[in-house]
Amino acid sequence: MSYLEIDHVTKLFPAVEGGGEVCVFRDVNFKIEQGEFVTMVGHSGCGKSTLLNIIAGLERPSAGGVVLEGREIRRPGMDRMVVFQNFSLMPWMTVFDNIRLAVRAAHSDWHRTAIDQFVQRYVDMVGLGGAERKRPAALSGGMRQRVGLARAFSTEPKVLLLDEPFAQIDALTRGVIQDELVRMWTASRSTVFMVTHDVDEAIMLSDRIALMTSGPDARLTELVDVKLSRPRSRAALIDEPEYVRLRAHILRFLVEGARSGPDEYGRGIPANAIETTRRGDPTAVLARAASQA
Amino acid sequence: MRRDRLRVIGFSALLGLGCLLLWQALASVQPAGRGVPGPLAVGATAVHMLANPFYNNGPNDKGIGLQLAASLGRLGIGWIVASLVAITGGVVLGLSPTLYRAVNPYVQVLKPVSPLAWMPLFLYTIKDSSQSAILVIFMSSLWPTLANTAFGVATINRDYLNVAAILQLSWWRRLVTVILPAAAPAIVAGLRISIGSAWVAIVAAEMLIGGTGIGYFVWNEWNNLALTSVIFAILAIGLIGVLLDAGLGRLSRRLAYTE
Repeated sequence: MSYLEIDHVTKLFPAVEGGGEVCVFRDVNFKIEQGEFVTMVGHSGCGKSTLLNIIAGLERPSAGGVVLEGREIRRPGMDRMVVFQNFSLMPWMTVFDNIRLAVRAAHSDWHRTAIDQFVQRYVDMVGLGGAERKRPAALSGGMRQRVGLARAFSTEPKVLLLDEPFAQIDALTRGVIQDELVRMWTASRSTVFMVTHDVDEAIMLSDRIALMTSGPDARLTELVDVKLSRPRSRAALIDEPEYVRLRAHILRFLVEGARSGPDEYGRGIPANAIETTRRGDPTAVLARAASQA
Repeated sequence: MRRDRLRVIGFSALLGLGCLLLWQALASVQPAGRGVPGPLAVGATAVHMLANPFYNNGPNDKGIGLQLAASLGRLGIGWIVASLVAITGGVVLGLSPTLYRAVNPYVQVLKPVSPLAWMPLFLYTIKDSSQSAILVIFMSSLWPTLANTAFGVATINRDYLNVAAILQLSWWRRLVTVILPAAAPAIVAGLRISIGSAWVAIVAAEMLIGGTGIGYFVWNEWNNLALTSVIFAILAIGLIGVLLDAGLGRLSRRLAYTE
C-alpha cells in the first residue's frame, strides 16, 4: 500500500447555466510514496487546484477518494498543509503572528516561549529576520510566499500541498525561493504534491510529473519520471540531455495532447459542458461553478 | 499637502467668522427681548454655564455637565449592550446563509422603525422612564451593527477560513483570531453608525421622559424661554457627537488592514 493514494477521483461541478453538471476531471488515479515530490502539470481549468483541495480536505470528490497512510481523507487536517498561490496570509497579523498561528495550532500544549522560539527558527530559515513585525501588505510577493512556506513547514506536516506557489512571484525571486523550498523539503523529508503550469519549475523540483489533459472532463494521462540527480542546479540543467528531452516531451503534451475532446474510447464531453464552455473562457466558467458549489 | 491644509483651515475659519458676524448682525436688528439671541448672548451664557457645569439645585436646575453626563451614561449602557447583542447575532447570521436569509425580512421591517416608536411599549412594560430611554438607545444602536457584522462575516475571504480549517482551530480561536479581526472593519463601521444614531435618539427620548439629560435640558430651557441655553446645548450636543465619532474613527483606523 502506498503512502498517499489518489483513488479514482472524479469531480463534478453544477453547471452555471441550464442545470446539469460539468465534469472537471474524471477517474484520476495515482499514488505518491513517502518523501516523494510529485507535481501535476496542466492548463488552467484542468482541475488540478481542485484535486489539490480535495487532498487538503477542503473539497469533497464526487466519486473516488484520497487515502493517506491507509485512512481516507474527509476533512482538512494538520497532517496536510497548503501553500496557496495568493499566499492567504492573515493581513491583520504580522509575519511572526501568521507563523505563530500555525505553530500554536500544531503545538497547543507548548509554553509561550517555546512556541516563540520555534516560530523564530522558521522566520530565520526563510530569511525574514528583521521583518517579523511587518504585516503582509508591506512585503513583496516573494517575501509573502516565504511566510507562506514557513507557516506550512513550521507545523511539520506529513504532506505539503503547493498550489501554484510561485505563480505570483517575479521570475528572479522565483528561483531563489524554489531553492529554499527544496532545501526545506530535503531537511523535513515531507511528501509534496504541487500543481503548476510552469514546466521548468516542475522538472527542476519534482521526482515525478503528472500530466493532465485540458478541462472540462480532464484526465490524467501520464506520470513522467524525472531522472535527474539531486541537488539540481539551474545552470547545469540547461544542457542536460535528459532535461531537454523531458521539457520537450511535456511541452509537446501541453501543446498537442492536452486538447480536450472525446478520448480514444469515445467518451466525450457532456453536452452541457460544451454548451457552458463555448460561451467563454472555460477557466472562468469553472471558477464560477466552483464559487457556486 | 501642507499648503493645502493651511488653505482649508483658513477658509474654514473665515466661513465660521462670517456666519457669526451675519448671525450677530441679524440678531441686533431685531427688537430687544424678542427674536433669536445673537452669538454674543449665547457666548455669555456659555461662559456662565461652563463656569460651574456640575452644580445641582434640584430636579429642574442642574449644570450642563451633569446633564451631558446623564445622557452619556444612558448612551454608554444602551450602546454597549446593543453592540454586544448585535455583534453576537451578526456573527451567527454571517456564518449561516440560511439563517441570514430567514431572519433578514424581520430585520428589514424593524430597521426603519424610529427607536422612539418603541417608547410607549417600554414605558408600559418596565414602568421606568430612565430604563425606557436606555432601551430606546438599545433599539437605535442595534440594527446598523447587526447588519454590518452579518455582512462583514458573510463576506470574509474564503482563504482565511480555509487556513483556519486546515489549522483545525477551535471555534473560539477561529472566532477570535480569524472571524472577528477579518470582519472588524465592517463591524466598527456599524458601531460608528450606531453611536451616531443613538446620540441623535437620546435627545428626543429625554425630551419625552424628562428628569435629567441634555434632551430634557433643551426642553426645559425652551419652557423657560432661555433660547441662549438652547443654542448652547445644540452646540454641545454637536461637539460631543463629533468626539464620539472621532473615537470610533481612531479604532477603525487601528483595525483596518489591506489585503
